[in-house]
Amino acid sequence: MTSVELAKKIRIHAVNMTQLGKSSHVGAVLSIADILAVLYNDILNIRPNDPKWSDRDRFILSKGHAGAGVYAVLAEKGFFPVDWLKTHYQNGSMLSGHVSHIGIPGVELSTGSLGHGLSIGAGLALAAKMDNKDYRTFVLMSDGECDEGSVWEAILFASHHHLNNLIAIIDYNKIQSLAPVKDTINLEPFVEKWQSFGWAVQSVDGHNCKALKNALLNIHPSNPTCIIANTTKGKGVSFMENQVLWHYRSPQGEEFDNALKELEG
Amino acid sequence: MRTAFFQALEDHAQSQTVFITGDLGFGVINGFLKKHPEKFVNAGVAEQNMVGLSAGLALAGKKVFAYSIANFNTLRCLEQIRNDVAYHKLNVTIVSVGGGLAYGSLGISHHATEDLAILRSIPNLTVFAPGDTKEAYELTKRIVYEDLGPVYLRLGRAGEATLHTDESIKKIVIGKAFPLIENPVRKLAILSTGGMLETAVYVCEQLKQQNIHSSVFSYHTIKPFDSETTQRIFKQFDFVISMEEHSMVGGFSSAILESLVGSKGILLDNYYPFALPAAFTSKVGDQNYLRNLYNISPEKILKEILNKLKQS
Repeated sequence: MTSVELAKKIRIHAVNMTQLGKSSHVGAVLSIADILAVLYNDILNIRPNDPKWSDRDRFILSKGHAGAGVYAVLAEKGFFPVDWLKTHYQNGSMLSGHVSHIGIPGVELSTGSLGHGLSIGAGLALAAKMDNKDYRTFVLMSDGECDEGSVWEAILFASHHHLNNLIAIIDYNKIQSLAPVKDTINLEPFVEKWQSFGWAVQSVDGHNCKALKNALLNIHPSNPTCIIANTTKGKGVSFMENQVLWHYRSPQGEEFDNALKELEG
Repeated sequence: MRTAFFQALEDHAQSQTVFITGDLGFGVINGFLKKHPEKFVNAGVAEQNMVGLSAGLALAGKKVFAYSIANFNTLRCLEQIRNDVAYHKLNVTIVSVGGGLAYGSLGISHHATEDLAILRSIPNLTVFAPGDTKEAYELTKRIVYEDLGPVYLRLGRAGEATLHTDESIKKIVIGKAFPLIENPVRKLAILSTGGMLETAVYVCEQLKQQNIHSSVFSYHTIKPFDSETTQRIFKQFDFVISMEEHSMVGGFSSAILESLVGSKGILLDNYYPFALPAAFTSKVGDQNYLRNLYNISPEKILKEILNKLKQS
């Protein structure tokens, strides 16, 4: 399976899961589907049959509300049966709306409150340095998440310690909870901000799997790397794209049918 | 206690031990730093990141001590403690120095007077409040060697007494109140947590001079709380008092009362908790001044106990 095919599967799962669970955040999952696909298909050094392998690369989804995407990619990669996805958001399930690690092979970290993942990623990266291990830590964050002060604490720390084994990926879809990022807390000039904090920055098309793969294969040799992935919230379903509404709305009825048609077409 | 903590860490640090500070510890970290420079991390003045880093380090197998003053590494980063450390059951110990009013004159920002209430309500977190230098040393040592998971270690500051002997300290059990002074006459039980232990011992000795028999129990572990011993004490003793340098709301006395729910044959008529009011102090003063102001100084407690005993 190519990363493009995997991304398509993630998107279809996301629409099905949020329909079944009547849950939010489908737009956020569609936004990161290509990033997840490239990471799990082409980049992460992991073993689905040995999820706790000590030398594995670590992946943290810091924007935990897009957890359905992580569950979907893990299931597709064989960490657990695809059938489990049907329980997402259901009473009694292990698969909570915000990603949780308990009982789910392959999930490194439970998140949900924004601004936690990069610090933890920096801790993992620092531990790898202390132990002379080669594994890398990838943290996928949202743009709105960068409003959190703790993110900038981690950014400062990682560059000070030259954590070249830490890679932050920003899902820069430019829409946050209530309105566009630029009308909420403007992040621009975003690339320059990260650069001025000592990170190596690459700005790429977050839906171009080749470009993503190329960026992720070219991480900086001595500094932490930030990949700003320019994305579209709701990508792949025309009526969801760039709509704040689809941060919250669950696809039902005709909308559900039309979304699947577009994704499967 | 602070010195005892650092000494224990210096003496016993293992290959997986990491000490991380929020840019504090001037003058007291030197011994550890000299012996274990590779285990030292300064996170800067950034406690949320410090606890997140600690969680990441622990996920990779480290045993982390995350150190700062009073509220900075508890309240400032409470969500990191709850979601990242506690939920993931990681080997991270939040080491808070200056529990209670130890930094009295510095003002309310430095008064850790709600920490026990808040931290003990977090699932998976063990809460220690050692009563003297030996308990601080011993508990630190055990955290290093045992897999205790997430811990909150509430220390005093400096100058606390040494009340245990070399023999008694070997007998303390995590999660169990320790009978530091045992009197066969079950008249009065003094239950103490944290740095109030010195006051408890003082009060016990003063009462003894007046032929009033009392026993002193050190509750170095606030969570898991020793309900069994507490219930037994309330059944056996005529009077029970508790001492804590913490708000009356949610702390040691609350834990005591919670532990008694459902236990038959217990009356609370003769239970007297000594704690701080749930208020911000409006006056400047050092630890002893503020303890006196809030009626938890040795003299005030002694006077109050004698009054209560007379009235009974």
